[in-house]
Amino acid sequence: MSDQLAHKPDIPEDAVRRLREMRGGEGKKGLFTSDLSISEFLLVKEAGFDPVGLVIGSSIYHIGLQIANYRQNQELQVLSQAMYQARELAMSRMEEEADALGADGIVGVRLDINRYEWGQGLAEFMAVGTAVRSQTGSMRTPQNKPFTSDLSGQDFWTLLQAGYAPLALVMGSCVYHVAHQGLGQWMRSVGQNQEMPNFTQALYDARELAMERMQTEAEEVKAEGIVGAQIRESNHGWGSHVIEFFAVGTAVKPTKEDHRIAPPQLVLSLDQ
Amino acid sequence: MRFFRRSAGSGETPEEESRRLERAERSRQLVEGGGIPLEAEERIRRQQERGGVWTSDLSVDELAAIRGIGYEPVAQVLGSSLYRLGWINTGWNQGPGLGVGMRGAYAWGTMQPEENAALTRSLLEARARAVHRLLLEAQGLQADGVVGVRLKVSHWEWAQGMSEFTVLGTAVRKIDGPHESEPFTSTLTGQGLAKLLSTGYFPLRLVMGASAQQAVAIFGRGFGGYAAWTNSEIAPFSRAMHQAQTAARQRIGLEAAQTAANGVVGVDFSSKVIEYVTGSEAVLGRIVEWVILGTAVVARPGAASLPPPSLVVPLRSRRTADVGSTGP
Repeated sequence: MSDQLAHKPDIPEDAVRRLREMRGGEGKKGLFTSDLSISEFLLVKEAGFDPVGLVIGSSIYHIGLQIANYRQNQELQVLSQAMYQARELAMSRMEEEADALGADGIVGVRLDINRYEWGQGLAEFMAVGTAVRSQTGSMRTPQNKPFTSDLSGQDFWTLLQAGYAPLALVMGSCVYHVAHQGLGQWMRSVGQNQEMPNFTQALYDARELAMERMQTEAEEVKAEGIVGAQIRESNHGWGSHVIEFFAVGTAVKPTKEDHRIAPPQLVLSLDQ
Repeated sequence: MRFFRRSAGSGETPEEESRRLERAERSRQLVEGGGIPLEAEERIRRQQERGGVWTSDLSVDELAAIRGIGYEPVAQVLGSSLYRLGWINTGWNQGPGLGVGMRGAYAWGTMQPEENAALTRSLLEARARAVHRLLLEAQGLQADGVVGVRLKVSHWEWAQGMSEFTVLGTAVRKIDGPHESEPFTSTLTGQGLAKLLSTGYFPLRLVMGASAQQAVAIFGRGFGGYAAWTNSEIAPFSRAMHQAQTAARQRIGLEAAQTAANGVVGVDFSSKVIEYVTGSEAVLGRIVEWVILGTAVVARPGAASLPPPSLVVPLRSRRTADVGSTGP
């Protein structure tokens, strides 16, 4: 048990102490923390899991510079890589915390990026979630790592009911520079409503690249599919022509060969 | 991360650069012809050939719902079009300012809002281009349909006067067949599709209607116009709004009729009012845009009757994962 904590060079000492206290043992009772709502807590329990602790991973990352050709649509791969790796670092630290708690997985993972006044060009990448442990047997990934997912407690329950299990939060990032229009191009298009193929192509390509990378990650963990994929677009202070497209979703695999789902029933919700 | 071809920091060789530029140019030409760029074509082809992992933006509930009715997700599909909609030739901003003012004043009483046909066409075409690309992706995947199509209109700081129309959805396929000859497109969620099919209806495709109406109103007592200090209805603007709504609804109906549909469900509309310069301070010009989007549905034989719903108290509190936003 304590061995697992001893081999975590990536987690600060305070975190190790916190995790150790939460685990309990040696006559002391364990204690869990979580950011689950009441309904989520009930459903996670109902699904055969116990929450074991709120886990966090963080990385302060310096996002480098990459100069794009002013008139070209192009991916800025140095930046794509930075955005990906920073998130990956935060995620892996969160996973290590979960590992130290002997968890089978993490639900409700959120990825945040924070910027601070004191750090130009710096950003804090943070991953937060609630580690859970299975009551019935190991639910860890084939790579013997805790599963990760951005599913809420309710979605987690429904997913298991439907015969699937979460594997990993998968993501793909693409930072893209959209070309500035030349005067000639501008003159040709002024005075009419029309599509701007140059811009369409840039945004389209960038999204496709991000989606494809997310899919590659899912293939690596031998998933059957990805649910809840989202594409986020943001500009991280690189100037308006440089945009990050970030695709993220939860890779899932079936828990049994035959996973026919009963036809859904119609219900009238008494919630509102 | 093996999918990054080059290590960080290393520059590209001249051959690599020319290859990249050539690809970008070919993509641009494809897009200009209304098609999808190379990256998209390749992703779809790879997905179709290799199979493997499916992608979806279905929620877990939606996944359970569509599997429950015998469908499976194939891949997330995308369509996008960046369109210049800023240019509005109104006919009212021509010539010297006074002339416009006088023209408005003399025409008062008989003057009706009129359709700006060019803008109406553009409103529809910009969306249709994005939807067509999404359909191309779904066709490439030999899907039976696309569920949960959402239209997003965004504005980029570097593209003044332009709007980007993006549609995203999940292509689905019937597990045991028979397959459709043409994928349907629909705004329905997975649950929506399950409910629709269980009542004997089938989605056909997205249908749209739009109208842009322009109107002017005169302010100032000298011309018998509206006074700034009284409360009154500005009749030309009300009329423009009404005409735009009527025309857009008529057009979505006509489009649905062409697809042999029985009706349109899941209708969503958006409207916008644009101010335009008339050249005279006393003449206010407005353009009213109305766009309606929905899913045309058809009744298929062997319709099941709806079972009575049971009452439940849900344990669901809305909570969505929040990912990757940056503060100011």
